[in-house]
Amino acid sequence: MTLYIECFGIILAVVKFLSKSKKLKRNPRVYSTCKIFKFYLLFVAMVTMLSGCFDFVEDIKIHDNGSGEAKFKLNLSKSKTKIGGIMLMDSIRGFPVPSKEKIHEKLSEMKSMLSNQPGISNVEITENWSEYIFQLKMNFDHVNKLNVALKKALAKEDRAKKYVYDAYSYSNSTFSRNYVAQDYSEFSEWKTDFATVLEGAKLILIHRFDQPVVSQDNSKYMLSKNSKSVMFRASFLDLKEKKVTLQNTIALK
Amino acid sequence: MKYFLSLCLLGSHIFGLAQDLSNHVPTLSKSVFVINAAAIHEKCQEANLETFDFFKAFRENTDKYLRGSGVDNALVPMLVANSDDFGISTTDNSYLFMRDRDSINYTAFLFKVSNEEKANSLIKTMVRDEDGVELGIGEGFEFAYNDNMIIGWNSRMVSFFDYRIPSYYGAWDAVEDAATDEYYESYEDRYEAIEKEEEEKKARSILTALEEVFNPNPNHTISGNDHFKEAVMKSSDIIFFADGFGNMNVMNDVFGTRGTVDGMLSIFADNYFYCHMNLNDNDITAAYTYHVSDVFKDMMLATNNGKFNKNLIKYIDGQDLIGYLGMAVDPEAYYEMVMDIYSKVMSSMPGYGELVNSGMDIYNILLDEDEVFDFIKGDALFAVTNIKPFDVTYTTYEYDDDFNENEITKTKQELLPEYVFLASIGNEKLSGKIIELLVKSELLIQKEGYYLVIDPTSRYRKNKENGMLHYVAIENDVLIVTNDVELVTTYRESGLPKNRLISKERRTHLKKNNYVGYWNSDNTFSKMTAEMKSVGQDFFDIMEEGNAVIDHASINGLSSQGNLFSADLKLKMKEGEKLAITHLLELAESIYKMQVK
Repeated sequence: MTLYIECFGIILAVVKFLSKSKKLKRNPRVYSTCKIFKFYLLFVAMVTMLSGCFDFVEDIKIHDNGSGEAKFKLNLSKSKTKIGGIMLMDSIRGFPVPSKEKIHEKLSEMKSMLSNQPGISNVEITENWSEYIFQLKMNFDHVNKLNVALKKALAKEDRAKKYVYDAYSYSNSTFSRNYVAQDYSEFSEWKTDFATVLEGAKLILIHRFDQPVVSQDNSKYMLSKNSKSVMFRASFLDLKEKKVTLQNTIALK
Repeated sequence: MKYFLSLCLLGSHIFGLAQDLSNHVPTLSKSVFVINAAAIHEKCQEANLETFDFFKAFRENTDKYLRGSGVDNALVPMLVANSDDFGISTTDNSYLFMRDRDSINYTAFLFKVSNEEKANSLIKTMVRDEDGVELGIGEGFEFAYNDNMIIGWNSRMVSFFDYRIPSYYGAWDAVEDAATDEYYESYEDRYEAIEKEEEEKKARSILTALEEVFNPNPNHTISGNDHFKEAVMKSSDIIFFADGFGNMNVMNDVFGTRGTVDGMLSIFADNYFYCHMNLNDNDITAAYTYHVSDVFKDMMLATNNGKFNKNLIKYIDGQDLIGYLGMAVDPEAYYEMVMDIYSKVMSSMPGYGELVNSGMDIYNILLDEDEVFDFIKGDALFAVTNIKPFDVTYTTYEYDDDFNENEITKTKQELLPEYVFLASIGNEKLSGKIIELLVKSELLIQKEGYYLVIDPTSRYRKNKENGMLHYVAIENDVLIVTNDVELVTTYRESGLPKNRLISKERRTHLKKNNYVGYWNSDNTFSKMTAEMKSVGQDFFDIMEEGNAVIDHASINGLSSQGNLFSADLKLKMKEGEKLAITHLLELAESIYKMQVK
């Protein structure tokens, strides 16, 4: 499980939540369940509502012993004038817009929660409010610990759980980036065209290693000049339409 | 003979008022709407209300709508638009008023009955099938209530109330009860006793409200209020009235036991406000009148003595004008008036009034008024002059052959509003000092004859001129803040060419008024892209429907006559054969169809 899943899967969940917000408001129990992750990702959902002009970058360095450093960056700079405008509003489409302070508070909560996870250290969250770029960085003892930590970050939310899986595995010099294609049919109820929402939103995955890559089974991943990194680029729309998959198994020297 | 005729006219007017339901509206109501049911009904008939789908749907589902709507929500328009069906008199005024008592706060709609049978049927509809409805009989009226609404009626009139029992009501009783607490065998008994007591208290509060309306003290009704009489002298479709003293008196209820608010009350004692709203043939108008006490009259007159500097007009591009908002006042008089109000209000506050007063005295001593008011001239105008593509920079990342990340800045075009803020300023020495200070603080970057505004959050970036750019310039004694670079470069000294200036009509608007507002519907919506509208899709859908019928909106003010100050708001409908109310109903129809779809 990765923060990408957290973002992409939950973006979709939030989108659905938004489309059903009227119904949910009438159901206090469901509304209460949703409000936890509403704070985390409403910000992202707001952007998706506009034009989908954002990039999400997953940049993971994996050492030979399975430890490493993970960076997840959400870059909303391309939509910054619109977000700046939205941040001045109390609500958009009847949905409350969280304040800068509230978002900061929730990000701090996330930082503290991740810092307390075993095998996770040096958790840093960078907030650039003039460009709307947000980065989560952390070190992990093993990719399995990273899976667990990110899973726990979402454990409170039933809706998010179904989009969660162990996204990374590493053993015997083989790294796997796992991907379980999601069923997004439930979002067809959303009255705005889903394609429009995800149009222009890009996903970039970079996986770096100490040793050169010997082979990999997904041709969509490009190999770097020094053969120690792979990169995947796709639009969220392609992912949603299952034109691409993130699944990749990399054998290292 | 003419004296006799005058006496007859006066007599008939007084007799008319006595028959009017205004003698059932408490004089201490916070605000009162007088609804001319006859005029509204007639206009609805002219516009063929019955042919509209939303009206047909309403008629088919009357029961559902009536029971689901609060007095201050949709109930009043529904009842007024269907006066005939519900037995509401269309020849008499109906009243909507808000009243805050210490025991109950309520909004009430009061109307005269023209057909008792129909009115009874309406009441039955609202009471029928409702859970927890309590019924009762008062002196000369019957009533029903549940947790949200009260209905009181007799053969002459009906009143609907939305109500709330204030949380502080009975707080002292609770303290007293605690001292003389009775013994209960169990928590259940105690809870039951408290609940019973609360219910009794609620019933007493409700009866008080009903008594106040159905059996009022003749000396305590709004019909005896001279200010109200002045407001209703001129007939209108809807008249809104708010009495300053009545509203401020509520403060006395809150603070009365802890301290005096007489100082504050004295300044609002003779202040009242009314507004005449009319659905005319080609427009919808709201004429506001504000009566200030003698204490403020001279200050208001002095404040009002401001005019827009002609030089401001040189910088407003009128070709695609979206709208503007501005005011021109005498800044010194305005400051003195605000400080005077503030001082009186704050010094009346229990506990810290003295402290605030001392602070204000010190502030006034330190403030160099001559310098400040030589600098601020008192006229300012904000205009949105276009919606057009602007260059916007943003941050993105590039990756080298080994996928190492490099931050880069790119530029793209985005459709954004073009704005200009203009204000007359003097005291070149002081303005120069302020600008110098802002440049030193890196909030402004000096360019050739103008300045670039720097976002404080981007001060430490490599490229400070990033994102949306805003400019500042001072020329011809005008402070110009804008995002239109052409205005501060090419046209800074000369002003815009004549063919780009605002129309004669708009110039006259600015010349004749010192509080202005203007919005052009067509220019707004024709420029917006689908993406911009998507930010608030539902809102813009409705506004687009509005655009089909509204030509423009304008605010004109402020004229004065004695203690009366007035302004008006006009919603000008598109030219054509249709009446303004027809346009309005068509708008309601479109919104209804949008919601049904």
